[in-house]
Amino acid sequence: MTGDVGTMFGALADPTRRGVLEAVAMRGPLTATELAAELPVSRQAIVKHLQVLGHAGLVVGSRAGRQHRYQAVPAVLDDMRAWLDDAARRWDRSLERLRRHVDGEPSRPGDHASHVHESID
Amino acid sequence: MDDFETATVTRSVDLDATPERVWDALVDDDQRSAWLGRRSRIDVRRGGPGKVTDDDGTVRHLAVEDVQPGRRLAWRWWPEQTGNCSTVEFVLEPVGPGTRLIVTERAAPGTTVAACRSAAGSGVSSALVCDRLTMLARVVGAAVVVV
Repeated sequence: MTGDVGTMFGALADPTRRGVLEAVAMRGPLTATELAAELPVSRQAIVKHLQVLGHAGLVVGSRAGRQHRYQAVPAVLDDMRAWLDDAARRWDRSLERLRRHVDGEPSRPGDHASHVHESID
Repeated sequence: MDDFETATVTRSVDLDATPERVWDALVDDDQRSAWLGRRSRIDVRRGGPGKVTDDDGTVRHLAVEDVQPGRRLAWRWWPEQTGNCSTVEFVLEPVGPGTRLIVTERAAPGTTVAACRSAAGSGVSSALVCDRLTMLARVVGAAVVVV
């Protein structure tokens, strides 16, 4: 795996690819042929999607006889979630400090952003 | 909003300050250091480099991507230690006498630290070239067209 969350998120930007990952995560290990049988995509396309997911570290393949079987790597989804959580925490903290700064209040380290509201779009 | 599918974190905050005042807090190094991490230095012009040290000591290098005074500031940054490149966008909207500031951070797909660095490097050098040509133009009193 690359360790690069941008690549991980990029791999999940495609809805078909998310479908492939979901199938592999729910019912894996699966072969490309098995995936093509249950998803509305050709085997050739499945193989390409598996390559992108594999490059991002989201799936790993293992050889069983003449077949390649793929399974999901849930820890990578945890890395992505951790990145989002970290970014959210950073901006909550920073924006609360910015609010105090422009309002002329002294900033207090460790303050949490009770006044920062999340957009809900 | 934290969105797994689009890899974005969005926050908005309503501030009792004019967009001009908020803009100053974004672009002035001393003011920014009061709220963004422990310390930051940013050359606020397109392609300008910067460095932000977070409260936990994480150092992020950045390259400015867009500067629209009073309205929008965007940069691409990447932590020194990991390959997680992302873009940050600040949008300022006047709301009555105050300002709504919307921040969006997005994991940049398909990029690596090396890619971020080279994108930043080229931006910086072209900005420098532009500056030098502008200075040269002043010296010789000629107009310079950068193609």
